[in-house]
Amino acid sequence: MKGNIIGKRIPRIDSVPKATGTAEYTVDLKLPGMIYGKILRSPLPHARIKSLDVSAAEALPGVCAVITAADVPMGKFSFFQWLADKTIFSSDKVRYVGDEVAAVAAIDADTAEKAIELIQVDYDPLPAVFETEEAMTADAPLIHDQESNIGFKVERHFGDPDNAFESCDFVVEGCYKTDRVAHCCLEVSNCVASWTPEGRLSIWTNAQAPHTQRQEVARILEIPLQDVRIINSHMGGGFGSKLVMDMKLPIAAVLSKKTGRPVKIQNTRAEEFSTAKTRYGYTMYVKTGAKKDGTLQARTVRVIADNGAYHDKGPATLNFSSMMFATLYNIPNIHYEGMVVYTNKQMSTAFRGFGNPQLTFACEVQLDELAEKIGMDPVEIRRINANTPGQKLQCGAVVPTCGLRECIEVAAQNIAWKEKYNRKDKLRGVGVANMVHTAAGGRYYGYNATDSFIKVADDGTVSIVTPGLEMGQGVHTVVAMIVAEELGLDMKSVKVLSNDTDLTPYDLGSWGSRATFVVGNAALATAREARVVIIETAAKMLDTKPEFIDLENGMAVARGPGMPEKSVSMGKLAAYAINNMKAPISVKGQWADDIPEDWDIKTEFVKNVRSFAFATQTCEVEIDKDTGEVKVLKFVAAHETGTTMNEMLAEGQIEGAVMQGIGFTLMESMTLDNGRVVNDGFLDYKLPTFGEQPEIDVQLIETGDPHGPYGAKGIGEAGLVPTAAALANAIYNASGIRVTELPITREFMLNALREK
Amino acid sequence: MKHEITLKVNNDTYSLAIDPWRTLNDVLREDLNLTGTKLGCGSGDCGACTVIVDGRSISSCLTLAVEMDQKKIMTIEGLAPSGEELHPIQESFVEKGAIQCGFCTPGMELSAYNLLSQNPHPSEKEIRESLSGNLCRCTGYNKIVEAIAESADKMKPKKKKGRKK
Amino acid sequence: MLLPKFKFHEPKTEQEACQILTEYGDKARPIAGGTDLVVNMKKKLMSPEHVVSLSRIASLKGLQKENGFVKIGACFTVADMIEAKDIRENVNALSAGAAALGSPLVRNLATIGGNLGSARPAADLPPPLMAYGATLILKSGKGKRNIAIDDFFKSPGTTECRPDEFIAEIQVLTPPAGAGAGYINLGARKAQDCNIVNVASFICLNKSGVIDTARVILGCVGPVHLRAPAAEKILMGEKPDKVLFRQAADAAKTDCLPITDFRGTGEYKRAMVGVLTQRTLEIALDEAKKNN
Repeated sequence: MKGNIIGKRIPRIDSVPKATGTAEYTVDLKLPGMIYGKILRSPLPHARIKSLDVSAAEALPGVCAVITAADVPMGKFSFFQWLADKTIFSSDKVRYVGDEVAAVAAIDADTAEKAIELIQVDYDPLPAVFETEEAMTADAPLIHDQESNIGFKVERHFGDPDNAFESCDFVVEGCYKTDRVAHCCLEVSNCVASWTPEGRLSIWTNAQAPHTQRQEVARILEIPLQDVRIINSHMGGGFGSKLVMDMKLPIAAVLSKKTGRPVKIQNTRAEEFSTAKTRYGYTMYVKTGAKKDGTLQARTVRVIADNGAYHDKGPATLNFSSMMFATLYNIPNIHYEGMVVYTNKQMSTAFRGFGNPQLTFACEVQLDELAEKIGMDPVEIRRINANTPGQKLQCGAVVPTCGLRECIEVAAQNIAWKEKYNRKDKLRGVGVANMVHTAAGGRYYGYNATDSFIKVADDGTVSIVTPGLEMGQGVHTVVAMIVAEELGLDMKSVKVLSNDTDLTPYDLGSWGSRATFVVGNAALATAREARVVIIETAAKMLDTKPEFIDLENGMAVARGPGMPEKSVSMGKLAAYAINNMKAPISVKGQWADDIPEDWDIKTEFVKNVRSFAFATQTCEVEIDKDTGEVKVLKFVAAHETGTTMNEMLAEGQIEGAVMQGIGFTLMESMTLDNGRVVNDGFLDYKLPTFGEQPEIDVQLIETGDPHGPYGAKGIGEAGLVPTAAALANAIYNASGIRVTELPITREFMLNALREK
Repeated sequence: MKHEITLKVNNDTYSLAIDPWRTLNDVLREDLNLTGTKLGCGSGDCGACTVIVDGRSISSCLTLAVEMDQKKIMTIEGLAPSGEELHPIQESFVEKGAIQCGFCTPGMELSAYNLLSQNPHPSEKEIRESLSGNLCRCTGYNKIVEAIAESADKMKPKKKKGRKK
Repeated sequence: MLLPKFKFHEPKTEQEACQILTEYGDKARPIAGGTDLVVNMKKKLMSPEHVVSLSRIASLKGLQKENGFVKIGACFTVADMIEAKDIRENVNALSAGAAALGSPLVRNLATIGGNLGSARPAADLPPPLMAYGATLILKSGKGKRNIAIDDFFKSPGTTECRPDEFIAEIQVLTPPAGAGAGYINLGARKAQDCNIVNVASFICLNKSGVIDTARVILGCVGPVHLRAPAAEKILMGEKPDKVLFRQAADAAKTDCLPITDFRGTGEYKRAMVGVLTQRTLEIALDEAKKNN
């Protein structure tokens, strides 16, 4: 779609403040009287706390408060409260290197750091376990007071996979592994908490889901929800890391209450690497069967996800990957078994894709193995199994629109698949992978809806109050574009008000590619509501009928048969509404996902997703036979957008995600030494830099969506979902080496090349 | 012992008494409230804290403020020529979609400034090499490369007129 | 990551620097660009009571070509080294080492003296300087002394430089006709990285095309940068070709003591020593032929 605004390459509304350094991030915030907090963390992966002595820290001049488990509510907490397993501070034992033990607040950061060093903790080390499958054995040390280290299990089943495999012509089986990787937001996790004497707690932080974090803060501190307010600023990256409350929020809050001053707590980069949570590492046992014509008949998987020391988004991640597992292709017989397993490592959490990049890596690499067995081209097997628009899948999902076949075509064509596949020269090759992802978040909460408000000021400015959480992906720009499109305005006339739970309507936050879809739909409904009121007002003012009024270029214009064209500016119109009609223009709009009332997540788990988006990525790689280096020469990322709201922002989402996918596949890994993160800085935790990023040909396929705003689908996460598999498959094409474990290090490649 | 220093930052001169263990980054952000200069890692590995000192881009987190006495420092707040909202580099970052979360942006732009002041017509390879100390987790870099190439074109003297729309 | 507290000194002359270092001895640490020292201090790996900045001493910042030597002041920055014509035209592998170091942001601060003084086994400048057989000029209140770079490094982080001394200058003899050198570093990324292995090679061909000088230097595969005697022995007295270089590369693998750490296994590093030795020798030969 091309509107006046929608579909155009419109610069972000926050780009000038960001380009000039005037955009304020939470980490830039300074409040009057503010003091500095610091957390004492466990140096051991698993240990009993024998004793704790804070007297020396308390005696240090400049220290305002020292708190331990004795000073805070000690109810257990988790994102899913039915899995609660973590207290604010550890009182009896610590379960990972980084577990919170105590905290201080001091007049400056130097003093706070010094005070932390003065706290004496006597630990009794316990045996620790770091690998999931080791943690599942009978004699593994138990991390929590539970019968085993398996923290949660989920199963999904339909059809009869066992029988189906029997009748398949080809069956492949394998084990695949992905590593824990870090979000690496350039702005570290931080907050300022201010607990005022009248009993109200305000927390400024970089949260992707401020309304749910507000509930989490109230829950863990055992205080009324109405006493908590969360305020966001510009945010230096999210990617899933800032969905669930970090313990520094309640810690800063208690320190603030104790001192009567605002308290800031900010991670160091090393602290961020060791404690800010990672992507769930998956171990996946996958089996796939097909007929000799290539049609997929059955697929089973057992996923063992590395939980780390405490629960976080594990159940959501496992559930979500089960959905995508069943939806990518229409396979009639499926079994999915997933579990999260405790280890003595930092917690895992959501990370762009919610388990889907992990499982897509396994499944799409295995699909290439299957194609090879059948003697089929990898593009062809994907083409014949691709879903089509309007299809109802065996698992129960319906895909009203689906651009997968177009994605496959363009991705294959733009990488020159026919010329380059199986060329077998110079260790160069091409690879392909498909994916499906949610285009609209999830319905886990049983609720997927939000509101927004619009007011029109007598200067012609239209302001929208939206809960859309801007973390860099561009949702505020998209919301402003929707308002400008509907009300015939330029972008400068639209103001977006957000970032404060006291101001914004309730919303679940920015995750799961849901913001454009959910928040955008609410903005669209609100703008259309405003349009009606504005047109009615204009009709009165211009003495004509509403059907003759149009909104364009900041004006309401009346055009009708036999009447001279008349117009009035938005500002005058707003003034007229205020002064003459005694009815200032302000409206509310809402979007609510029509979740079926009888929906049961266990039996109809695929209905957890309102809308699906498909994609294909292809790439070309070259391998250095001497060093094992994999050079990524080019990527083609063909993604279904429904409707492209803003080409430039959509490209940016996909280009950035592909780069994160390249890091996940080739470079990024948390290296541990007895549970301590060794590579806890950007020198040794390898993010791709300018030199590692190849040309990326982004192709946006518009298929429309029956429910998205203007037919848009969310695309924030999709870009890295198929990247690892496409790269691994290209590596196979180049070298004959089948990769089943990430990251694909140079050393692995070199050894594999030599073994051949 | 505190040291008395004079910092010439953008067009302002500041007289300060500072402890020698304070970094330039810390003094800019905490004492001068110039928070456009970010801190990403503190160990010179990410480039978010880039500033220009005596015409060269450096990591302000690795620089002792006490060593900056009398030096000419430019931060992101001083990049746009006076009287203009945006420098051509900033303008291109905005127009080309080279900004997402924006936390790396000030450092990126100043590294670009450092490059273009030494090499007004860089190749794509030179842009990538010159910006290699600046990490970005959002954009995937390619739009930043495009923005810098475009701003180089804009800054060519003959095209200067065409820049003002 | 905050810096520990210290007293700061900023001498304007070499003589003043000598006085301060003599007074405080091992309680003092010189700072130039600070890209190593400040990080080490932030990580609390070092906490000198006195930090002595050499950055205001003009005499340490020069670059001259004199009496067949390229003389580089210790506070000459790595970025300036890349641009210096005298370095590029005479000792190009040193330019390559400078260009491989960190990123422009680091190179604009880091100095040649600092890169040597911090004595990191993965540093980029020692291999090419050792390949060219450079000499370091150390100064103190007691006077100055010259030390061959091969004798300078003692262990990670420690050197021949006494606490009261500082590196003043690095002198590199301009290679004769028929000489060439190459430097390559291997990291996980193209820039902004800590090397996994780095190698520099130097050869000099006599009039009949036979190698009469050979130096191969291996980085990251020992406590200090290592000469590769077995590799050098194979090269000496032979006419260069691919087969000879392959043999030298294989020998270089036996000349090193790589450890396994999170940057790579000893086995991989050893293999990369072979690859980089071969590749640097090829660069050296190309250059040697051009210089004939």
